[in-house]
Amino acid sequence: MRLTAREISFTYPSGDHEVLSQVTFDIPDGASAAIIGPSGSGKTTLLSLMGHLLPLQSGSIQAVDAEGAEHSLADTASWVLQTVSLLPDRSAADNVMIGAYSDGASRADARARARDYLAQVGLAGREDEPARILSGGEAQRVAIARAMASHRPIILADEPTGQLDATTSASVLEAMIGAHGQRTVVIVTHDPAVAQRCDLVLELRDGRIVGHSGARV
Amino acid sequence: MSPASSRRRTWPLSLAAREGHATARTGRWTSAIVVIATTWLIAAPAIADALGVTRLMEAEQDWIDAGGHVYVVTGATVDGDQLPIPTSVCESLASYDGVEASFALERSGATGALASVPGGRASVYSATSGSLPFLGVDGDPRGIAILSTGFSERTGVLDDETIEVIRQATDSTPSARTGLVSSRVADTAPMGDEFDGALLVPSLLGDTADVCYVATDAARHQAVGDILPGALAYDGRSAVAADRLYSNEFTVDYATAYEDRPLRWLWIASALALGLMWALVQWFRRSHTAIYATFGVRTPARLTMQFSEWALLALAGAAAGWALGITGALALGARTNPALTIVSAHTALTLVGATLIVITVALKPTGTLLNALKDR
Repeated sequence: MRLTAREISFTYPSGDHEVLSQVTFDIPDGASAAIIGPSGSGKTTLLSLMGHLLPLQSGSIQAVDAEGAEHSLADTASWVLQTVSLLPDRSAADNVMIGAYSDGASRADARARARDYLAQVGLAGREDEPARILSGGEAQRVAIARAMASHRPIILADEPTGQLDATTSASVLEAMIGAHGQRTVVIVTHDPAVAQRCDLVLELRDGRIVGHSGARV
Repeated sequence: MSPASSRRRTWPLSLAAREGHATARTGRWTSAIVVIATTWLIAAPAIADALGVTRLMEAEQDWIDAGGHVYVVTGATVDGDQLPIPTSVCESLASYDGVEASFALERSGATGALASVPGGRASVYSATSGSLPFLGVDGDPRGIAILSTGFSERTGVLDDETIEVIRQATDSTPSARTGLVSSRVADTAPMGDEFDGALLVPSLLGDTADVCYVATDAARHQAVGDILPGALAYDGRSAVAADRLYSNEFTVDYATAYEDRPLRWLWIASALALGLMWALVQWFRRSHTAIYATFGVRTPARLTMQFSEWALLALAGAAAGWALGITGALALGARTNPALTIVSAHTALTLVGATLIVITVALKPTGTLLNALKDR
């Protein structure tokens, strides 16, 4: 699914300056894109607007399928947040199953997906452990598995590998991005290795896109 | 491996309910606190109210035993003489709605004694058979004499002993003996203190008697009192019906005291406390709600999820609260009937009230998902 953003500007209600200003870009169907930039440049705000975590003030963001039909990202994107966002008292599998349920999966199917995707992020056999006892890195991998289990065509991820070591980060990233064309992935990151792994890199500075590279697309 | 899906999915309500139940089951301290709080917020006020009502009922019963809800009806006074009341009308009042018992009594002015207890003198009264149900005496009025508890204590004559009452002669009546009769000991307090130590002999009176005693139920006491002067009129003169026990604005009106008792409204405080506690739980869990929202849980499913979790925990707490309330109230001396009624009412009302608050809380709009997810 292709992502198009047109002339997005945003000011926080409590702030007095634009966090984003006239941001426009396209991410092709099935591509992975990294959004990079210094702290405060508007990366997370842009991602939040894409995922409808914040209300859009101006401009438009659309997901467009192969037939040209437009979809809301609220229905087509799943999230991996910078802060670990699991239900602490529920098991790792339960947390992943929430993603599968959002795709209409039956309980059995959701359970199977949970087992499969937890294995893909290196957590095979940990399905029944409560999320509260997982380490930060393990919890982050559960969140990634949940996003993948939703089978939504777009994943929006905010520093998804921030708490992972380099080896785990590479394998998890490989599982999330997957084969080209499988899903569109947008990653906010400070990690050059992660950006390098993506098809497209958008560089934000002071709320504007100042760099755009797409060597692998 | 992962077929991309873009169609809009809504969570089935059955799935949302299952998630709510799962949250309740895995909620550890949160679930335990909600259940325990529900239990005690139902049980404690219910026990207090049941005990209060029991005390009120006991006080009312004492008052009734002392003659509450009893009319003493005498004839009108004409030229310094008191007219009699019609005996048969007095006796038949017991069949009226609101009248529990009635009987006519003749003050013979005679004293008497038991043949077997020399010196055990007492005032002797003749009363119609309605005096038995009035005083709570079972059996046939023929062949018995009713002894007041005071007389029984003084002479040592107990219930169901064979006695013979010797009535002393007066200016107008000769001495008489009842023959062998069976004793019945009864508390004559509802008739008045002057009957303590008296003997009542159920007998057929003439057409008229000196006084009519009428016991009513609490609800129709006033209505019965209104008809008595006319019903017991003699020679065209209305009778005079007086409450056996004096009452005024300083004496307790038990019906009003029951209706006005503050403890009956404690369920509102309990429901508010539970509702606020639940609102607090949801506020602490707003990031969880936001997580579900990012995975397609819309308002109906969110409501279902929170309600099903609440329902499971609240019903468990309510069941425990009901059982604890009944057990506690009975253990602390409450009567069974008010304990069952009041604890059940507190349980139901607290549950309904708290549930309305829970639904209101669930309907409250949430802030942005980002804020909710960041507020962790």
